[in-house]
Amino acid sequence: MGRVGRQRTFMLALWLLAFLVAVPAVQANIPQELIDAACAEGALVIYSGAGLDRTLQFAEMFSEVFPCIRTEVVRQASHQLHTRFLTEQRAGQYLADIIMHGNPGIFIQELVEGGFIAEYDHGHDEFYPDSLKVRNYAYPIFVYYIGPAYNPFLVTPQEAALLDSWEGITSPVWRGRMGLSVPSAGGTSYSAPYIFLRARRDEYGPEFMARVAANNPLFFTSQIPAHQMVVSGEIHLHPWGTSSTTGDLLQQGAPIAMKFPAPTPAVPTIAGMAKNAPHPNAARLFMRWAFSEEGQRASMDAFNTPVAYETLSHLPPPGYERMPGGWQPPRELLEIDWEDFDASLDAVVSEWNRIFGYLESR
Amino acid sequence: MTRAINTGAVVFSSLLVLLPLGAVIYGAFQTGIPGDPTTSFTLGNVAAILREPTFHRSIMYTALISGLVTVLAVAYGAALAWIIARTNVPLKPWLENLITVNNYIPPFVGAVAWIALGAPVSGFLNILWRTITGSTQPLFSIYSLGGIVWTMFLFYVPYAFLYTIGAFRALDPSLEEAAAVHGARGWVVLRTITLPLVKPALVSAAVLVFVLSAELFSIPGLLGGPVGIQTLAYRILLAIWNSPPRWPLASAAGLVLLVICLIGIYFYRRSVRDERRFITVTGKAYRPRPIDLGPWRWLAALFCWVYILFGVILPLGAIGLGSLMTFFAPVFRPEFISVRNWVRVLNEGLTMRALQNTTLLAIITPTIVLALALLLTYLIVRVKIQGRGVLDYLLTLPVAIPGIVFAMGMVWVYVRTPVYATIWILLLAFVTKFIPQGIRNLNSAFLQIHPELEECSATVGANQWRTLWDITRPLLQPTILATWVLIFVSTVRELSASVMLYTARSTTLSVLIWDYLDSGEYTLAMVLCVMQVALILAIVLLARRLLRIGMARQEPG
Repeated sequence: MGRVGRQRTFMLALWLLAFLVAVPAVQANIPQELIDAACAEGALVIYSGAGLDRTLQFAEMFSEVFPCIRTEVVRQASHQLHTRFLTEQRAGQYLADIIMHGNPGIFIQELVEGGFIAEYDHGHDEFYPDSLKVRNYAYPIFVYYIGPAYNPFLVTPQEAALLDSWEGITSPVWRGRMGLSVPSAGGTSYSAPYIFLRARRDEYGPEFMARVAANNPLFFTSQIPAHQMVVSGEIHLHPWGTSSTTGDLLQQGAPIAMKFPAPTPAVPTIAGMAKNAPHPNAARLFMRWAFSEEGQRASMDAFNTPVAYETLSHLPPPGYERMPGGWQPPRELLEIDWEDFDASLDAVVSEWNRIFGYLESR
Repeated sequence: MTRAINTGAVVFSSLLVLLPLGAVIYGAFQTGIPGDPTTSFTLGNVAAILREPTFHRSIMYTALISGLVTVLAVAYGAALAWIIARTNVPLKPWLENLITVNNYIPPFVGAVAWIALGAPVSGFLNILWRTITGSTQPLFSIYSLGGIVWTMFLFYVPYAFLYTIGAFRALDPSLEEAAAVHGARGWVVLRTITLPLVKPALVSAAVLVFVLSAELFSIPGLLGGPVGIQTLAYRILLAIWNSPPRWPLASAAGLVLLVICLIGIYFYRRSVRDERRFITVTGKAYRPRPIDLGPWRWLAALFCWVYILFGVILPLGAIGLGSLMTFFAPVFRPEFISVRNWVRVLNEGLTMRALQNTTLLAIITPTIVLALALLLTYLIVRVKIQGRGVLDYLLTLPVAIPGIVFAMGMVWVYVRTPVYATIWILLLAFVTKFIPQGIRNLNSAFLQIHPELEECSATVGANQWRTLWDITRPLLQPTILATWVLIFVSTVRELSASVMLYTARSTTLSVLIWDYLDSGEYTLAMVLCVMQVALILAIVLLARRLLRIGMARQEPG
């Protein structure tokens, strides 16, 4: 066996040892009565606004630790999922145990404050920053970092260096080479325009946005097609991509890279337990596992994006070792006031549409 | 007993349509969604549609694109139907099966395939063009009005084909022979004899293609959105997708499309008012003979194969190749080719569940729809029940409301019932949605059949059911099969209702494909699309073989 083979065997043994230690470690922190009660229920239904395959993988990881619980995933885009959940809850159709989506503002305002999310202390609260949680109600499963995503085969190193600062996306070198997800899609697509037209308006403002608009970008309804077009080479730059989508594509070997100029928006996908969960013990067990260190490691592996758990937040997500230059963590994360984030959406999007000549009216 | 069943069918079908439609109309005049305790009455949503210049532009784009697509698709589809049904074009069974394959591809996947083929920089066809010619400019851009019309035209040709082939097959050739005896040839016979006789089928196809293309959001959205072309259906989707979702506005915009549909049905009913003009099937027996095109049959074959190349081979090729790639892009290197997508999808438990649910729904739905549509059309066209005009309009309405809005109406109606969150609400939604297709197709077929055949049956003592089964059904068999196939395919491909109403246990192939695409897992979606096309093709070929329908048709009388 050669040197590489010996190294691989050693790593495999380490992982096996960690697994043998980790599984009992996770279970050691969870009351046996809860595990027994959850197993008696035997099922867990997750409503997810994240990627289907990624959520299925995350759910499978939970089922590997607790094989007595069968997981089911219902996946829709965040807004539709939110409306569906609300409609069902108001009609007394209690189908979801866990709901998770990437619009923290309406999650908090309508679901948590509306009384649809159960209060539950999963025991890991102190490991999460206050700006990304509602104590005992909603916590981030993972976090999207937002920054320029580009095709490294079609962008020169000098052009890529421009993207170390947000100012770089206004450069005329991107004229005819840019596409972007429109901010009316909300969530991650809205986060960067929110910085420029609201949170740091004094620093950037409409004139900054007008210089981006002058690059004549193509418009995409969401992050996914915009990233796909970067990979295919149809566009060379998407100015506000997400770390998760880029990570997924890097795992597939696609030609894509990403930078995180300061300030970097961090948009969490947050999760909570439904107040009238049909399998409440399985839901509690999931919350205990998903927000533990082991569950957060599983989240990084499944969703290819950073997590907010204190001891893991500095780690590079899988796939980024393939990126030219490797993982370069953000220098400054923007702390977002989620109430203002949602309240200002109409005004910011209307202004953005006017600047870019995007036809949709509000 | 017969009267009770007839009444029951009319009431059941009417309620199926009226309940969700009523919820949509109610929702259009509310500030929030039904069930929201803070919602109140408002005219603001409708006012926004009528007042905003951007909505006027969307309505204009809708009318323009749907109009162009309808004219082109019906002309080409009807021509294909005439060639297959009435001439001696070679390889006819192959052509008939291949022409409809594009119909098996979900429109949103077809749009992604055409982006892979026709994107101005990275599209495969443009790369090929630049390589061959040395040009720096693309041959065409799929992100354009022309690109939208082109892709939708390819998508709707099979609809027009399936809607008209039954009518061409049912034509009594003696009428054309009589014209020929009097010296009329070729194009003159086609224009003055054949086309007027199949006018109900042509108009029916045109109305449905126009309405269906007006409510389609995926192709205009994916191809027009990047360059600012927004149809009304796409605006409705954005109203639902964007943050925050605006369901009342989407409902109000859906009502605008409903008005367009009503206008279309009105013109259809006017054009077929004197039904005696379209009768071609009578008590006299006849045997169809294919028209000998001579050397022109090779041109006719080319006409068919050109469509098959652009409508079937190219997009399916892009999808098949995409299913074998590690990421979806025109980068053809061996290290990016892999079967791991297939392994992942085939090992995923959700895939088998989706396959089972889809197959079950796709077999039951067209069967129920046809049974209902046959009875209801008979009541409208033959029995001429009171209120048949209103019933005819009512039963066509579901096709006019954008599927996703209509589905939300179904959620609002059924969310408090036991059928919600089961597979049966999907069945309800599909039957409601596809009744218009069944009725429109059977309606035009009925108009071709002289009532004397059914009157003879009644004269010798047969009741309504015996007449329907022994006389009417065999005469309509080509149309019934074509309609069953169309609705079967539509059910397998259906997305807009499924995505609103499914649960993890009732997930379908279309929902799974959509979820993978929406999540950025394009290559996994391509695997499922190949599986879906294969499933549809297998069932359709089996159905055709079992029922032995092709050029041979049942003899009347």
